[in-house]
Amino acid sequence: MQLTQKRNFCIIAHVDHGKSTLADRLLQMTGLISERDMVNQVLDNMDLEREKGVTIKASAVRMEYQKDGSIYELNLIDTPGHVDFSYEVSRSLIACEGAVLVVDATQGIEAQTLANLYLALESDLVIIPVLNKIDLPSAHADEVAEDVGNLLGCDPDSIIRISAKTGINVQQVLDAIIERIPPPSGNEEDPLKALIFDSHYDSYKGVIAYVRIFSGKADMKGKFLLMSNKVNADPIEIGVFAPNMKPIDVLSAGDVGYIATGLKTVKECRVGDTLTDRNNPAEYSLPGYKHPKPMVFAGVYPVEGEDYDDLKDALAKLQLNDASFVYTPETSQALNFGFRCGFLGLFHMEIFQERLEREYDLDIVLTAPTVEYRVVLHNGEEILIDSPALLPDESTIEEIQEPWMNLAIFTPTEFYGAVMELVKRRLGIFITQEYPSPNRVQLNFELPLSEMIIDFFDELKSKTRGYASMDYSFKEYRASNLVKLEVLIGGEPVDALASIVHKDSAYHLGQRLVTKLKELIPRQLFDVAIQASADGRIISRANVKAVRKDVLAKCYGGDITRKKKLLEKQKKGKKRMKMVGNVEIPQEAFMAILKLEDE
Amino acid sequence: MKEAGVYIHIPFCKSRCQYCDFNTSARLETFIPNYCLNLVKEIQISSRIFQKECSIGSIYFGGGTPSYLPANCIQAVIQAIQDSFNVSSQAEISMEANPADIIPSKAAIWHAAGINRLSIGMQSAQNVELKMLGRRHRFKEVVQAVNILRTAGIENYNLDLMFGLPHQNMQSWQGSVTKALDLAPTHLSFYALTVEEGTPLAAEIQTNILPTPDEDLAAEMYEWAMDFLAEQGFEQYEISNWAKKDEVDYRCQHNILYWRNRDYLGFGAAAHSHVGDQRWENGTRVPEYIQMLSRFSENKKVNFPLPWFETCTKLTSAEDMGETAMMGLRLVEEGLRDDLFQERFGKSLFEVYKEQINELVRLGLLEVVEGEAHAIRLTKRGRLLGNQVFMRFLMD
Repeated sequence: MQLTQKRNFCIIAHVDHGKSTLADRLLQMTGLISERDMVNQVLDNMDLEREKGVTIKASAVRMEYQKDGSIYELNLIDTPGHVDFSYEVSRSLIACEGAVLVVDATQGIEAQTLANLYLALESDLVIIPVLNKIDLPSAHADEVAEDVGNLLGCDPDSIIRISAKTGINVQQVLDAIIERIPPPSGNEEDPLKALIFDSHYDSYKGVIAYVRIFSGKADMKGKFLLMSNKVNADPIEIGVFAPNMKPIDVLSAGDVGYIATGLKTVKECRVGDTLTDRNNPAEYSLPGYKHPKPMVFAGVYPVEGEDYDDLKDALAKLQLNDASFVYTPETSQALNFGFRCGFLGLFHMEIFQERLEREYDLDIVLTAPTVEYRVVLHNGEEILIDSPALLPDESTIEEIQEPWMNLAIFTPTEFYGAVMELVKRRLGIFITQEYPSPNRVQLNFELPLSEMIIDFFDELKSKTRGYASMDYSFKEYRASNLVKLEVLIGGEPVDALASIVHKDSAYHLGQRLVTKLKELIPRQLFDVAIQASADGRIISRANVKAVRKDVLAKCYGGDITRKKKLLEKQKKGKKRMKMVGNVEIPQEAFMAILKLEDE
Repeated sequence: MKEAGVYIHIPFCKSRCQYCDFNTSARLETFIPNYCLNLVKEIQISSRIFQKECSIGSIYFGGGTPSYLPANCIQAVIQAIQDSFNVSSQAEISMEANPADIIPSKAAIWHAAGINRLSIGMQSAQNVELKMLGRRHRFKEVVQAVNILRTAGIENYNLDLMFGLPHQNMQSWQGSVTKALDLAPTHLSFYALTVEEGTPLAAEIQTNILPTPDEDLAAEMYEWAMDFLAEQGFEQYEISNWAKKDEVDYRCQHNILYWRNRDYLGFGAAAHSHVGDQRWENGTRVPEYIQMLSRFSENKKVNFPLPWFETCTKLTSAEDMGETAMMGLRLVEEGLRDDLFQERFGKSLFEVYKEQINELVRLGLLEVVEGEAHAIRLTKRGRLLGNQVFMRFLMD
């Protein structure tokens, strides 16, 4: 097929604006799936995605569509829908020539509408704006069309109004893709350059690289090479997604498809890397390759020590498909053997936690998340620490630096004050504001990531009645006045409860943490002292008094079975607690710092 | 022949108390005559299965409020037990009673029927507390009740008291205990209030109409009672039970069967039974119980498990051991006796529970009684923390 008959595009949207529904509708209209098979959202493979209404892994599908008597080949590249995956989004975008921008006609423009749009414009994509959900009574299409028109500098009347759910006007979207998005360019005689924009692990074929061919061609005779790490990746299979994997003979310039590499881990085949042929290698790799680094770290421990090996296996399996997730074994004096895990962001961490619990049926304790600090020592040495337990002795520290983020919050103007107040309290710095549409403001801040990972998004949502949305990206490391806040239980420091906090808020935080722990730690057979210390001083203390009475008053013939069950339940609860010294600590206590209420 | 007890469940009450989550039914009076007829029938049918195996050393009417029933119904049931089973002439025959039901005419019939021990639900000597608990009697009626019983010839009676109540303080508790002792009981049961979910009392506490009882104060009340009753010549033989020290053994023989995890047959809706390694429970609902029994004539031969059992469980040896320990340790004087344990399970409890015993002794909750009656029992501190002890003897 000629390049002029090909179109590569993606769909971009804020979470829940209907990206996946539109994708499914397009697949159905091009005959790739039948109405009957259309289990909503084919592109989202994982149950979890379906439940959360977001796409975690990108996917790519080849469709055929007939217009004005000629057949076109459309490649839809799906993009991850969450801010933690913005690098992966950007790689998917550069594999396309155009993007369908979906805006929910009931919600209007939101933070990730803008964030994704800017990414798409940076990649020089042609934008096709679309208003979705126009069938809903709460849709205010004219108003939203006006806003989108202003944003893109286009005629509001030219914006296609659809309902992906019912199929209204979706045909017009297909036509617009062909009319407005340029066909791909590229010479198939040049050396091979294939951009890897996603991958997954297949136990038979190894790592499957999702590729967009920018020049040259890939067939089974190829001797492939990954340019960033010089790893050989000879093809086991080459094909396209239609929507399931379908082998074909050759992928040439302009095409989107997959190459099964036989590689054992996705780490060797990273998103953004360029694949070439080592017999006729490209001179330069495609620009923009980055190695996304985890930003948020937490300890993951099995509740039952005997589940350690199962947890280890589960983490290894999850990492097969996720190059940005890292983990190393860690030992905690309180929680015994577990792992220090690194995630791209809080959302990424949440997905992991849920998958471990749901897909692998593991009971885990997750410690409070932390960022990676950069510690400069008096001797000039610089070390990175991702756990408070690793903070060196204070007397050796010159300064501690922490990651700061660019944070954009998009909100109806009525919540301006509430947002400013929240960010200020979290030590954020106001930078600029923009009014992309009337009654909506985008506030740009700089904020320490450490403040953002503790309950920030939930609080933002509650302070703005769910209307605000946000987007963030790493800015830089900055020196901060930080101290280690330690918690001592029964006089012993508990490593898993330590945190690194801003010195100014240490006293206050320590008090709230001790109060919360007093609530969470049940009375034991002896008094238990809880203390918080920072800078070598005890800043707060409380006492959990010994339990005096814990006995069933009555137990006669008819009570035995029921009372035995009660005791067994009590015993089970006791077993689920973690022993620190001889104090039993419930799992929630290790996340206590996340649950400090405002006073 | 093994000795067993008989438990009769009377699931009727004139009114429901605020704290009660038992199987009892207020406003089901119309079922009473039919219930008693079928109760008699259940006893007759069951006796053909168990009669040869056991002789009956105790009968216990619990509820509900057995005293609320017409006294001749109680009489008929006792008669049926005596006709169908081999009942010892020394058998203890107990009945739970609400003080308001104790009137001379009933007391005379009870005595004539063979009832020789009454357990009176006094609960408190403070009328405010009785009202809060939803009891239908007042303290004055307890005093009258005791006099009526003595006149009728029943001098062996227990008084139930409750502590750890909302608004109760040490002074009002001591007042209740003193006034109870003035009534010259042979036995006392002191129960800490358990706020059961779903009861009206729980709702009142949740909505702050009543304060949450202070557990530490309840502990103090209990500790005071232990010391005070010892001074007053009472022996604490179970966590919540005290018997007057005398030549006569005033401990409740029927309840001791439960704590030693021995055999008992329960009759009536929701009654529980335990024979050998089997536990079973009759269906809980009165109308269904009656309907089910109505299908059988008293001569009908029915096989075990009987059709009106709701559950019937064969215990494993490990489960049986756990239950034996959990119950036996409630006997704070006698404790869990190793000779009885060995007789039953063929091994010493000091072998089976070596680790648990060591840990609990170290924690100061358990002590080993040396000598002929080699046993383990709760320490004084352990009596208030019994659950911490019991749970360690149950399987994971």
